[in-house]
Amino acid sequence: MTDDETLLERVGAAFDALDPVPAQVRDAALAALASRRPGAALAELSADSAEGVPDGTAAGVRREHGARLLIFTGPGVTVEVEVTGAGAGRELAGRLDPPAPAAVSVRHRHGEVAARADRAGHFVVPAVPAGPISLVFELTDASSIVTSWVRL
Amino acid sequence: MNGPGELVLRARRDDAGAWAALVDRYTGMLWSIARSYDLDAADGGDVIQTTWLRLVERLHLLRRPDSVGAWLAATAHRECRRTLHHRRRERPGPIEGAAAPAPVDYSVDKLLAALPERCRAILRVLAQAPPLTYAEAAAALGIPVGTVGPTRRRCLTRLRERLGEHLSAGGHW
Repeated sequence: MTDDETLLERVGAAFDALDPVPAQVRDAALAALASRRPGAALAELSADSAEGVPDGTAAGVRREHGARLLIFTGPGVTVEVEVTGAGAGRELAGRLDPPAPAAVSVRHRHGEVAARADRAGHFVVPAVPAGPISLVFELTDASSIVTSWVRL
Repeated sequence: MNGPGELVLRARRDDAGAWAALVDRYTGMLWSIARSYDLDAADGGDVIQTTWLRLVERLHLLRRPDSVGAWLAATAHRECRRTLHHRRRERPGPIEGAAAPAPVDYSVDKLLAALPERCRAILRVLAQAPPLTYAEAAAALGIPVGTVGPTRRRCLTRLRERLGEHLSAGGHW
């Protein structure tokens, strides 16, 4: 009675009516482009204690007192981050390796939280909300590093 | 001109229009993937936002811009699995509705609900507008690209049979 395309159009309309993409999902997607930092080196997630091994590398990440440990690896740089607490009171404590002082900011859904890494590369960022987050390090030589987005 | 590869290249130059075109082309597909894992709206929204942010962070590194749709689908699948994993960790034991990933109850539409889950999922993905390529649909469904065409035919035939029964029983759609 109808050709395939017409039938599929009706299927699409049915799903759109039953379970439409929420407007805020599209808005968040549109806003994502503003997070682009093409000049920064990307450190990608190489291990996450909450799920074992995401991509077959760095097996056996340790877990201490229930904290989640994330390891990001980029060209010549490693960022280790321990996540403790829950809700809006999550705290990130970590280390930049090789050690270097840096301005640190944690980007999240509603904005960002700033902190500093000391000479040893250590940093602590309090009050990080749940949802997708990414860390940005501005080094003293004007170079910068961003980590992959992960969900807390 | 406005193929996905071209849109990626333009988005690399911070072209907001090209980015919006990518978002409109693939957000429906990503939503259907999140729903196929039975994620609620909040988790599904987070997964999709993370997927787009991941694309942004490696926009300039993407080796095959033309395959951005399949890349998005694979990334969303990975994030969905991660989320299920987290949820099970946070709430050990059976999770309501998450025991069997996939089945979503579209009870409102009896015709689609009467189809096997596999068919519902594939028809939903193939009904995206603008239409996905078979390679993208295969990535969204996690099936080999060669099975998309035959499955599409089989499922449309099934739907048409249901529709026929429905119409001959005096219903309308």
